[in-house]
Amino acid sequence: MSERADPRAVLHQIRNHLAVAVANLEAFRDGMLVPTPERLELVLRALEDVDGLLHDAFPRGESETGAR
Amino acid sequence: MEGTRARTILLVDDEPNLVDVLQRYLVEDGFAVLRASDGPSAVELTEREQPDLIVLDLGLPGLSGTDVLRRVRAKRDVPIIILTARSEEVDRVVGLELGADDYVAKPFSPREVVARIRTVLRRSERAATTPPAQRPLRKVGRIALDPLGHEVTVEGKPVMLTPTQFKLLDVLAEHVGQTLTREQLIERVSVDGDVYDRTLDRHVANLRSRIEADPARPKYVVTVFGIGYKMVDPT
Repeated sequence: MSERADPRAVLHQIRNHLAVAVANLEAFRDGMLVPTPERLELVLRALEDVDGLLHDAFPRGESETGAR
Repeated sequence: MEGTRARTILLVDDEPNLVDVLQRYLVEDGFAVLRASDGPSAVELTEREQPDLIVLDLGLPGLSGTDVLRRVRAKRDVPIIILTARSEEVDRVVGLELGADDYVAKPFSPREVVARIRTVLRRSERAATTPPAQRPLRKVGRIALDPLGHEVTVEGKPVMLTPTQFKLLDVLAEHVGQTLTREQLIERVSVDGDVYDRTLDRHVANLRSRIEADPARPKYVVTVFGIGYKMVDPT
C-alpha cells in the first residue's frame, strides 16, 4: 500500500489505543481493577494496534535507515 | 439530605473499556454513573436523567461530539468535560464557540479525570449556592461581570461566554483604561498554554461579537495597535 493515511488521523487512532492501555494499567496500579488475563489481553491488543499503526505509518526502510 | 446526594456523571465514549475504567474510579469515589456510547443516546440520557456533569468523547460515531455538545448546551447549562485524542480540536471546543468547561487529552490518567470532575463540579456548585446579592460585581459601562458565578450581563441581559472569553473579559475589566500587552493577556488567560499569539485575536473577536453592539466598531474592548488591547468605559 503506497498511499499514506492522514497523519493526524493515525495520531488520533494511536492516542485512542494508548488511552485504553494507560487507563487499564493505571487502574491495575491503583487497585481499582484486577489484572485478569482478559484485561491484560485487552491492554496487549491495544499496544499491538499501536505497533501496527506505527508500522504502516513508517514503512520498513524509512524508520530503520532514516537519518538520526 | 440534599448535600449528601450522589452526584451523577454521564460518561460518553464509544470505547466501552474506557468507560468501564472511569466508572470504576467514579463509583469508588461515591459518584453515580450513567453511560452512553453514541451521540443520540447521550442527548436522550441527558434530558431524561439530568446528570450533574458530562464527560464527553469528541470522536463519537454518528452524531459527533461537537453536535452533542451543542444540543445539550442548548437545553441546559450542565458542566461538560471533553475527552479528545485530537489536540487540534481543543482550542475550538474549550476556548472558542462551543464552551466546554474543561478537557482531558487522550491518553489520560483516570485519577486526573476524576480530579477535573471534582474541580468543575465545585466551581459550578459554588456559583449556584452563593447568593447573587453577595457576589462582588465588576461593572464597566453597561457590562456587569460576576466573577464567582461566571455570568455576564450586557444592558441587564445575560450573555453566554466561553471560559476563555470570560477570563479575557475579567482581566480586561480589572484594568479598565489600561493597555494590556498581548503577552500579558496570553499569560493571564491561558490554561496549560492553550492560548497562543495567533488565537488571542480570535478570542477577542469572539468576545466582541458577544458584548459589543457593533463588533466591527468596538466600544469596550479596543485594539491598541502594535501593543495589545484595552478595555474602556464608553458611557
